[in-house]
Amino acid sequence: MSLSPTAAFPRLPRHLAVTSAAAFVSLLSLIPLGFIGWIAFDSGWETVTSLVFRPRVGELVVNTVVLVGLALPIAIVLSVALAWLTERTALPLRRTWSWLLVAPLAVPAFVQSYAWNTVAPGLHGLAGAVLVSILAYFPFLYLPVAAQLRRLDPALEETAASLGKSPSAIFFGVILPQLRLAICGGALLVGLHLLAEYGLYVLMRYDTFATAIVDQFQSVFNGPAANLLGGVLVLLCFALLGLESFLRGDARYARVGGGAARGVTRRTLGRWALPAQVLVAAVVLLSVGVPLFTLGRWLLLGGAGIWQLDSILPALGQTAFLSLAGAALAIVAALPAAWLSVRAPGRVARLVEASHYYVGALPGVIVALALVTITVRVALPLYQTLATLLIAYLLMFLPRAMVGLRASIAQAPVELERAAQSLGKPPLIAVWHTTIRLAAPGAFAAAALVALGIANELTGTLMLAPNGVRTLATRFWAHTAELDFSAAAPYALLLVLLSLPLVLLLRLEADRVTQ
Amino acid sequence: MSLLELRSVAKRYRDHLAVGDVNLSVAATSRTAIVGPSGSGKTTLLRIIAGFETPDAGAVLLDGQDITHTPAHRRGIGYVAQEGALFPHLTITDNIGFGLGRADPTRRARITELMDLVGLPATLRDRRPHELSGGQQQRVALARAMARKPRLMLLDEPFSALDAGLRETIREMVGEALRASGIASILVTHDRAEALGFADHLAVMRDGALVQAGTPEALYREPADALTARFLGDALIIDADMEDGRAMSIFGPIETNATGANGRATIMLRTEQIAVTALDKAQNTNGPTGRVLSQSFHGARCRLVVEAMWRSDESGDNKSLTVETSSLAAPKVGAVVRLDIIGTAHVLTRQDD
Repeated sequence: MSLSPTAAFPRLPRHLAVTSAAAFVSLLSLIPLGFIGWIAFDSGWETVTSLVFRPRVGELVVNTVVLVGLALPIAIVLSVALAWLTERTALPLRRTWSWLLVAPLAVPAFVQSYAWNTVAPGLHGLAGAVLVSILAYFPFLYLPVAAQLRRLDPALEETAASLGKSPSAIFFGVILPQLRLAICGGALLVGLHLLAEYGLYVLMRYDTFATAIVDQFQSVFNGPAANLLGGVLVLLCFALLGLESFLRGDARYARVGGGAARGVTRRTLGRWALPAQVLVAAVVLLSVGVPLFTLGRWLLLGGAGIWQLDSILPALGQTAFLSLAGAALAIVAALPAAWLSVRAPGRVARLVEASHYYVGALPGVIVALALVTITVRVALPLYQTLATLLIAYLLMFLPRAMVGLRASIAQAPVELERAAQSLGKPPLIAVWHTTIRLAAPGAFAAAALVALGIANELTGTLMLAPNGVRTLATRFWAHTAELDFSAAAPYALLLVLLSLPLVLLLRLEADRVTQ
Repeated sequence: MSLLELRSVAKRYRDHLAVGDVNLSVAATSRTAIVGPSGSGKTTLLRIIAGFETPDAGAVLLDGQDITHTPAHRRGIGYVAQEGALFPHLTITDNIGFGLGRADPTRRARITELMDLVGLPATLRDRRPHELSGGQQQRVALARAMARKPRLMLLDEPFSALDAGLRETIREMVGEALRASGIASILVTHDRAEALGFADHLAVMRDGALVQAGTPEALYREPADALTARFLGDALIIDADMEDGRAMSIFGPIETNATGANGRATIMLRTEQIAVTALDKAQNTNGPTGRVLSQSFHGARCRLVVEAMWRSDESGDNKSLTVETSSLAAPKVGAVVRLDIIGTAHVLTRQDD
């Protein structure tokens, strides 16, 4: 007969292996924060106060807060409205629309910005930054909200109706509160992206912390000014995390009770059909139509001359390789912490999670800066290698992997793990055969999100790429910086095309999970 | 006048007829159970009454008013879903008070009263649904549905997710709470024991049609056909020749409820209508006898499979039958028993000569 490991070693803390793995990954992800702390300490209090408490920093704080404070609420309202229209109403062409509403994910934010620069050269500053931010990032909210809407048990809404609640009361009293988790998760992701985004705001001529840090870095390589600005940005990010955690509360993920959920009845829109159709069409037109139109125009203007295959093909291959390798790495690294945060939520899990999130909010340049300094001072052989670049990607995109994994693990009932253990499987094997298997589709979606992010990553790659590594994004940026918009167009097109299959995957995944 | 009336209600999903031409009336304060195998259309019928589905044909009348096209939230009909469908984001108090106005001055008192009525301890007030057991969740679901004092309550298999012991307790509690409040109810279930135990009016559905409706006892004793007979309980169904209202069966002549009938017929006997008595080897009897093939103990009752020992070559069917007896001094396996018929048999079908 065989003893279960828990019986054999009763004194071991629960989930020791998983906790250690999660702790290791979070230690790794703490490197950039440790780096900034160390720089602050190393620079001395006087340098810190003189670099942080100055009008310029105040201005950047206001700029960043105003940007996030405007873009996030608009994006939330827009995404919930769009998700409700495509999931719960008899909107004509709703399936097509729901595909097109995810499509902006294939357009990198800086390409979106480049398109708007061409179409509306007068649009810049706060208005331009808010508009393009929303258009580039709202699908990160739309996708989870739509998925959650599909998942909701219609019995809840029916019961509310039997209790005399009107459709609008049901929406605000029953549906909306249950979208809270999806909204919080999506809004956090969008907010973190806004804090980290660089290319978009450079082209929109709107100063945020991210652009200021890169400016500093470019003028004074490895200076304390950029590092300390990064420190303030980390604080902003913590504020966002705290807000999300507060709003999310301890709400339960799984629905009460089991059983198969019944299909929903879709609401007919009546006289609202036309305005609804116009809203959805306008969003698609602005977020997908404008970039495609601009790209098409530059490609036509450029003709055959802009297709220099000897530099385009290597960039394509390298981008694909980095994306896939980075995605695989991120998923493996996020798995222990994601599992812990669902199965054994507590202070440790929160800590681990938070340490992952904050790196995601750091602009690529901060992670890059930290890795540059550390490799130069401590591990010189790793300086400017693929390994360092992949670690940077891992640190930057862990949150994406975490969010997706956590949500999909939360969908798998813990009872299955217990059942597998009672059938004689050791704990880790039991988790592998039940939760991991069930969460696999979600993990795949999370991997796609990570790969998408890496393919579009710009600043970190610019700084960390070993000699000879030139991705589509860095090539595109080089041409854009020289205002050669036409030569940049093939790279933009390839970035979009490369991201398309991932968008398809994501969307199909969302369909599959909820059927 | 009846509280609820369904007139020729029909509902079709693409090529599948879910409910076809159903007529049903429900009296005020009555308790109706709609029973049938899964896929028989009983849940669809309930959803039509609740207003979650609109029938393709026919009308739904509440208090004589046509509510066929009234949206669910204006019907004032209570509804308890299969799994309770508690709002996971609300506390127990807020779940129960969901249908009451926030500013309602009687709200608090009403919630306390309802929790009391369904047997929920006040300590659960601020809990969340997932912190409650399945039985408690259903109690909350019932209290919530009763809050607005509906005159009709729809129960969609609300006990099926509960374990057997609890099921009966909750069922009795629900029946008692509804009776005390004078609320008529319609229970949908596939469990015959549940239906028989709950209802004073039973409706059997099969393939989208209402096969038979009446009191539980009438349906149990005199089912319309063999399928209904078997669905509602263990039955012995045999062919027999009728002679002036008596069935000439393998048991000898049995009185039936078809007075004066003649010809071939199919008759039904409930298991409890057959009494077994152990015989000594030496004893002789003219009546039908059998040998006990197997015995299973069920506490108070004992279930026997008896092989008939008469005219065994003739028809080939019903050579063995299941009977129940008191478990006190039940005949052992191998024992020879005498079989006596109690009461009259019910004639299911008849071909007159």
